[in-house]
Amino acid sequence: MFKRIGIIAGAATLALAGPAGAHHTFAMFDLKKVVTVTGTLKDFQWTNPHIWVEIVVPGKGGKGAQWAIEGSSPSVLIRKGWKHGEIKLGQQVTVTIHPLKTGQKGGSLLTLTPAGGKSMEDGVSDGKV
Amino acid sequence: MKPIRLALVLGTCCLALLGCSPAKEAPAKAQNVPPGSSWRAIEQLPDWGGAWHLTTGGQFKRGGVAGWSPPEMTPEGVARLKTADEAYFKRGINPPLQNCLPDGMPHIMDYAFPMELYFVPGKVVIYIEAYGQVRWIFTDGRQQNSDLPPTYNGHSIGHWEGDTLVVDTVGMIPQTQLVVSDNFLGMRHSDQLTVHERIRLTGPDTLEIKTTVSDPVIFAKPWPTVKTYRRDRRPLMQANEYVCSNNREPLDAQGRQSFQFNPPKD
Repeated sequence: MFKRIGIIAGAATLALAGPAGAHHTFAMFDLKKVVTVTGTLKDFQWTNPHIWVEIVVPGKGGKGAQWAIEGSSPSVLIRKGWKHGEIKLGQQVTVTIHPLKTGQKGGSLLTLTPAGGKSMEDGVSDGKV
Repeated sequence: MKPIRLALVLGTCCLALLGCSPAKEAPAKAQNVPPGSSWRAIEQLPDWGGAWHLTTGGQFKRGGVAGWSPPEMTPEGVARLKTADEAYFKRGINPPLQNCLPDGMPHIMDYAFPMELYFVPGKVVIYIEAYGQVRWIFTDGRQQNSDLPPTYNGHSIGHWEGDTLVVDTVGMIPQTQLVVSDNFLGMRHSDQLTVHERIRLTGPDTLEIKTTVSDPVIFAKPWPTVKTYRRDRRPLMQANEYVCSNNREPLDAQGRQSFQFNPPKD
C-alpha cells in the first residue's frame, strides 16, 4: 500500500537538530519541513562523510520509488546507540527527513524506525548511551 | 697474613665498596629538559587519556553558545568576509571540505567529533576523528623551521607551563579558510596566520582549549575563542576511523553542491 507522505507542521525543534558533520551548507534541504517516508530498506551504506539510506516506496504498477537519504557519520550514530546488526536490508522502515528543496526523492535524516522497532535518532550523542 | 692486618685490609676494602670511592663524578649540570621528554617523565604529565567530546565553542558556536564572539577585522578582512558571504549565502558555494579535503588549522579543531591526545617522548599527538586527522605538537625544545613547506595543519611547537600545554602553530597553506561565523566557506587568510593554543584540564574530566588566531592582514586584533570538552573513557565513545570514501554530494567546478542518487536497479 502506498504510504501517504506526511508533512509535520511545527517541526521547528526537529529542524534545528540537524546532523553533525557540518562540512556543507544545508541549503539543499528544506530545514523547515519534515517528511515521513516508509518503505523497504534497499541499502544502508555505513560510510563517511555520510551514511546513506536507500528506501523503496511501493508505487503504481509495481514500480517502486527510491529515496536516497543522507545521515551523519557512522561513528556519530554508533555513539548515539545505533547498532550495525539492527539495520537489516529488506526490512520495513520509516524515516523522518528534511526533504530536498527540489522535490526530488532525497533528504537529510532525522529518525529511522524499523517496523516494530525503536526509533533511532540521527545526531551527536549526549553521552547518555 | 696476620689476622689483624687481614682485618684492616678487609675493612678498607669494605669501606671502599661502601662508597668511599675516589673521584665521584660532579653531578651533571641541571639541563633544561622539557617535561615529557622520556617515558618516565611522561608519567609526570597530567592524565589526558580517553576521548574528548566538544561541549561548547567550536562547531556549536552557532546558536548563541557562550564562549566566542566574531573577530575584529581590518578593512581587508571585512572585504574578504563580504566576498565569502556572497559566495556562500547567495551562490551556495561550499568549501573544499565538501570534497573531502581537510580544513586545516585552526578550523579542524572545531568539529563535533571526538579527539584523543597521546603523549610520546618529545611530542603530543592529537588524533581528530573528523576526516581522520593527526596533529603533532613538538615539545622537545625545537624551534620553528622555516625550511619546511606549508601544510594543512601547519607546524606546532609546544611547551608546558605547569599543567598547561601552550602551543604555537605556523605554516598553514593558503587554500584553507578561516571560519569566523555561520559561513562555512570561511574567509581567506594570509601567510601571516598563526594559532596560539592553551590546553589544560579544568576538572577531573573536563578540558579547555583557549585558542587565539592572529592574522594582522585580516584581523585588527588577535581573535580569542574558548572550547570546552568532556572526557569519556568508554570504548563506545572513542575516536574512530573516518575515511571520506563515499561522498555523494561532491562539488562542481564552481563549488556548488550536487546530490547523487543511486541509479535504481531493476
